Amino acid sequence: MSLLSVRGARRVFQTPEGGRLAALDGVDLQVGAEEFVTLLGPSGCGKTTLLRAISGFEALDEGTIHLQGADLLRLAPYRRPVNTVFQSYALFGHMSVARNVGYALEVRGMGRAARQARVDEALEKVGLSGLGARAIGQLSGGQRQRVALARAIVAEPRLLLLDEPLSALDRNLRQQMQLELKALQARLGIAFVFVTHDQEEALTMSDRVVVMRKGRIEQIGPPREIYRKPRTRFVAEFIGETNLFDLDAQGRTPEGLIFAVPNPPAARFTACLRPSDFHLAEQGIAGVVTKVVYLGADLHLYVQPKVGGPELRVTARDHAAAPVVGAEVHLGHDPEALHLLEA
Amino acid sequence: MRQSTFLAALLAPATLFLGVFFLGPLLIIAVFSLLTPGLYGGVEWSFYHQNYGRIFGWADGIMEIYEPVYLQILLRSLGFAALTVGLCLVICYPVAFWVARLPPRARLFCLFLVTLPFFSSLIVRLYAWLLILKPSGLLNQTLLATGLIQTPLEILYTQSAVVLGLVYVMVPFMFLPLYSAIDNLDRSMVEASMDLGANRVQTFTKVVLPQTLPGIIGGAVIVFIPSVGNFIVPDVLGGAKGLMVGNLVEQQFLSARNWPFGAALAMIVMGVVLATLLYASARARSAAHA
Amino acid sequence: MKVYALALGLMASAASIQAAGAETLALYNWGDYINPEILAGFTAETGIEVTLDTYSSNEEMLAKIQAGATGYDIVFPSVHMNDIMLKLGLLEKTDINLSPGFAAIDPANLRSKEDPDSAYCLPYAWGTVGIFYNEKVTGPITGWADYFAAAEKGAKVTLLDDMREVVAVGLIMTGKSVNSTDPADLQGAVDYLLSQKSKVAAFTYDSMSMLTSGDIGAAHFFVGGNVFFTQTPDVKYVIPVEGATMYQENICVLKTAPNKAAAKAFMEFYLRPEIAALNVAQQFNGTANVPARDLVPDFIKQNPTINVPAETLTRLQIFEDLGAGLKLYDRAWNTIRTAQ
Repeated sequence: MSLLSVRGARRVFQTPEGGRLAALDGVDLQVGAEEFVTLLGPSGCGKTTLLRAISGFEALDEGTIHLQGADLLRLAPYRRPVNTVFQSYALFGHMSVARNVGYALEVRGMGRAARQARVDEALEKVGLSGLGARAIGQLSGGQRQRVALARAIVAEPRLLLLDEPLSALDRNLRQQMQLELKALQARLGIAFVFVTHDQEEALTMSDRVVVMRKGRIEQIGPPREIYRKPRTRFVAEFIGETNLFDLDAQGRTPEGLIFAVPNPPAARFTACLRPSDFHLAEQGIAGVVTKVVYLGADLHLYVQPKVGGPELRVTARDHAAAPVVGAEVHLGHDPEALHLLEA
Repeated sequence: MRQSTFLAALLAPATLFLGVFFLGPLLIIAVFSLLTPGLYGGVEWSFYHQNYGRIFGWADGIMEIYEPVYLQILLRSLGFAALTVGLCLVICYPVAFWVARLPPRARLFCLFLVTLPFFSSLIVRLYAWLLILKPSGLLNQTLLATGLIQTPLEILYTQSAVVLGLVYVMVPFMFLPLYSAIDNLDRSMVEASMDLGANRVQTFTKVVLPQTLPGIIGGAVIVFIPSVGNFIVPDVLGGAKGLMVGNLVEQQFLSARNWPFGAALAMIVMGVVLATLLYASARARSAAHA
Repeated sequence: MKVYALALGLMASAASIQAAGAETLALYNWGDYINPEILAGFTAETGIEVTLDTYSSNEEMLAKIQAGATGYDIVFPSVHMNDIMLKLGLLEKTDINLSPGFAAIDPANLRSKEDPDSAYCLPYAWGTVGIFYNEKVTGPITGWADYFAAAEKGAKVTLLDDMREVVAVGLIMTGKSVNSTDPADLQGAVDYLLSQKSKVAAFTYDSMSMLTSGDIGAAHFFVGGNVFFTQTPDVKYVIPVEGATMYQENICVLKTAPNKAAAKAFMEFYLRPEIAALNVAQQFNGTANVPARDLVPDFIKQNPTINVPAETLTRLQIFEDLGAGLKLYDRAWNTIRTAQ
């Protein structure tokens, strides 16, 4: 049985213009006991609403949320055995680091001495040992992030909710924290539900990624599956870069590019190829390089097929003989790599 | 170096202004409080400690008589001011919360309503209260008509009327700093507190109250100080019976012609206010750093 | 910067208006204490613009003048304040007593001890301080005994918020002079007032409207209050049988007056009986101008509380300068007001 079970969640908001907007439009989600699940999607897709419905700060119009079989919707936010790391951290500026971290224990009536041990333990887990006496104002952004984390895990919740917690950090720190968070989750042995709009972050950390769009779940799966086998055009475009082709039953694009499709699912359908699935070849799709983006080990090429149609994006290794703008190239691909979308 | 000279030049007009128009009069009052009262107002330029002696107890008993009544009046004024602060706080805190949650347009309108009284004269507004509170006034007529009371309430010319008037006058001064503190309160902090298991009461006492404490202290100070020295409200609504220290000062200048004694009373009020201010700012600083 | 520029601009334009405008006369008077028609008439006749600022006590006026307020030409002190200001050298000799119209002035109104011949100031107006009462509420009242008795029976009564007037009630009721500086006399007055204090609803000047609305039954007030009760026969004014205070203000020119010629012209204008009568008709008080007394409306002429007969005059006392004795009154007043 899963730890968290969301069924048929619906939530409709009134827009300022008087319209109605479904922030959640029939969402079902199961989260396992030690699973790291990421809710991914553009802003307004409903991911934060879903997180807040679990923590109790948003009500549902329809649907249920159960944690370990218990109905969460019957409980006030402060009675729900889940904790949250807020995007803004929401640290209590008038309290020391230690009192912030020990807050959940303090309000449960735990004694000062017992609290101290748990606070030290939590601070150690996030790498802030010895900083308990500091004021919040004296901490760096990264340190505040860790305090927020320590504060949320000190009461040992079965489920931790994280609302874009890394968005305020710079890139290096963010990448470091991504790894640390993943490690922490494994060490604690609890479930994380992590909200982000950054697909790279989602792919790096998650056991499963939930891609959301307009209040609905577009696809749920492990990062690799989400990347390699997007179910829909939206997922394919949202996760990483991709080339999309509208094909007919013969595998032809309107411009006349031909792809080998052994079992066409319909008279018209869409297929995708990741930039890395193309390679420079002696023959194949003929085109002209229109733009070269240097990425270090790799190059990103934009190639205009001679037959017309949209530019193709191609990843190539950088070497001395790499194509330059204006060069004529041929693109080949592994037929296995062509992925057909369901919609 | 050049920057600090530039800064000094920029600040010079303000400093000069404060020096001339704020410290100057203060100095005059301080000096006057130690001089001999002139027979027909004004002062005679000789040192005279008995202005304070009349209040604190070392008058010689011949020229001046020590009377505990002045300290009593001072204490009563402080009590009224403290009560006013408390009532303003109780009234404004929930309202400020409510206003802070309104949509922006409604919020602006409410803030406008709060500042509305400043558009008309204080005296006029207090006379309006006199019309409301008097036995045949609006309040009593309404209560009588609805049958809630059988005989008119005796509010006008009581101490309750004085406190009511002070609260009325001071509510906007409490509301604005409170509103600003509450509006600046990070909502996610309230959510964080509840998320961590604190119920509403715990969240209020452990997070909301400490986070808005600077606003509370600020409001309390700006309400307390003018309340202590107010003399118009006790005059108009208290029927000059609930004498406050402000009335006493006014009387020394405007009917007793004893400027030095009035100055001494004013200095004492200022001392009390200054002490309050120092205490409050120390509290606010410790609250901000806790 | 903009604000400064604006302020400077305003000051400059104000100055230029003054410079460009006609001759002006600046009066500093009690509030509502002169008929505006007099000012308009003066301006119409002489072309001199009149400005009017007001004060609410002699001491307020004195404090302002002592503190160096300049720009005023004429003030209207009570007689005892007139004396004080003369002692302090604040007033200008006008020789108004040499003006031809001065013959109209009743010698009984030359009350200043420092200026017995009116070489400085001109008697302006005078009146009594007594009791207004609503006969329907209190029954007939003849004096302070009736007033306190009515209060005893539940009528709301008010005294003036004025140190000397209130202490004077105590002095009158204990048979002393309202100018006594004998501590024992004052102690007696305080004791008397304290014994009555619980019956007094308030010390206030706001009593006239409350009397009209029936919120109070009787009020200690100036005779001029009659203005409010010409249409309400139930509200009456009485000069207490036990005795009462009277007041008189004089027109005085300040030593610092910028326009002494205009000030003298105004005094002479006010010497005319028809002008003095204009003031009585609007203020409902007494005038020192003998011919003017015949020019006032009949209902005022026939009202013995405004047009006071000689036998009533004998029970009136006027405030004098108390010098250092004022301190006793200050103390008495604080005691009266703070006692619970």
